[in-house]
Amino acid sequence: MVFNLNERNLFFIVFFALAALIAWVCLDIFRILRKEKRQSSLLRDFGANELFLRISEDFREQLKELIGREVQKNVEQFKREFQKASEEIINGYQSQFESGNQEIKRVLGEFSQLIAGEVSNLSKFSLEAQNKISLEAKTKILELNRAAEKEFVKIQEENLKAAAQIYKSVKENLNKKVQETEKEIEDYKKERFKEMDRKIYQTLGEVAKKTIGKTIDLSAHEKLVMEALEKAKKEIF
Amino acid sequence: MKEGFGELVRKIRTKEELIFFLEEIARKKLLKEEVSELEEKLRALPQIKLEIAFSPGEDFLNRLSQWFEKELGQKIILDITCNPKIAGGLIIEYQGKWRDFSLAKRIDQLFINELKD
Repeated sequence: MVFNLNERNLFFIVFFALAALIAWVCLDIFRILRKEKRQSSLLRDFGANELFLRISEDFREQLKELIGREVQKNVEQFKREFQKASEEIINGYQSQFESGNQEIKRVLGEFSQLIAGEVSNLSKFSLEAQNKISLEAKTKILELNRAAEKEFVKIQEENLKAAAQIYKSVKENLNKKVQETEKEIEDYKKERFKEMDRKIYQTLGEVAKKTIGKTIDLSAHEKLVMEALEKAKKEIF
Repeated sequence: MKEGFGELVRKIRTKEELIFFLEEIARKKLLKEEVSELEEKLRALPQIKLEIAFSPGEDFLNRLSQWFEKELGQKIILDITCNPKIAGGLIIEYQGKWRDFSLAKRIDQLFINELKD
């Protein structure tokens, strides 16, 4: 079904809207009127029930006293009831507190026992742990000592080897040096002996030359010169 | 005159004699042509240095002079030095050549060989 907004439909819509507005205004007016009516009826009822009593002074006093006694009585009763209720509550709480206290004591006792047990366990565990740690530490120390000793021995052996090698090298060098020095001494001795021999021979030569030169007679000298000239003839002339 | 010079030259054997003769010529101022020629001839004579261990006598000088004249075919002036240290024999120098034929050298050689051994 298709809705078409034509003139007729528009008229119906406006008509219903106006009708609804009028109905709402009428209802509101009715409600306001009803409210005003209720207020005026209340005022009328109060004026109709109002009581004006005339009482004497004695009666006033007696009434006051009566009221005071009643009030006192009520207050005392209330007081007693309050005290009773308070006592009951306190007793209740006290009993609860006592039972709670006992429970706490019990719990504390159990707790202290538990703590003692735990402390004992803890100390036991601590002792065990201490023993274990001590044992492990001892073992570790022993292992370390062994390892250190082994390392020390190794280092000592290496040092000994190195020292032996150095000793050998130094000894070889020293032997070499000694041999060289001995050779040098020997050479020096040989040189010195040679020098001495040379000097001896030189001296001997000088002596021989002087001796021969003096001992040779003139004819022998002349003969030597002529022989030398014959040699010179072959080499120079 | 020239023949006379030849005799004179023959008589000169050593350098000392040559110097002496040249000094005589200079002293007497013999400036004649022949003398000058003689001086030139004398100065042109070849010399030979000899070192011997003794002082030679006249006979040995003559013998030496004649030996050189014979061997070299010309007159030679001997420049002789006496050195007893050479012990015997001689050391000779001629035309830049030097040889040691002394007894001292032979003795030294002997000891050098001994040292080598």
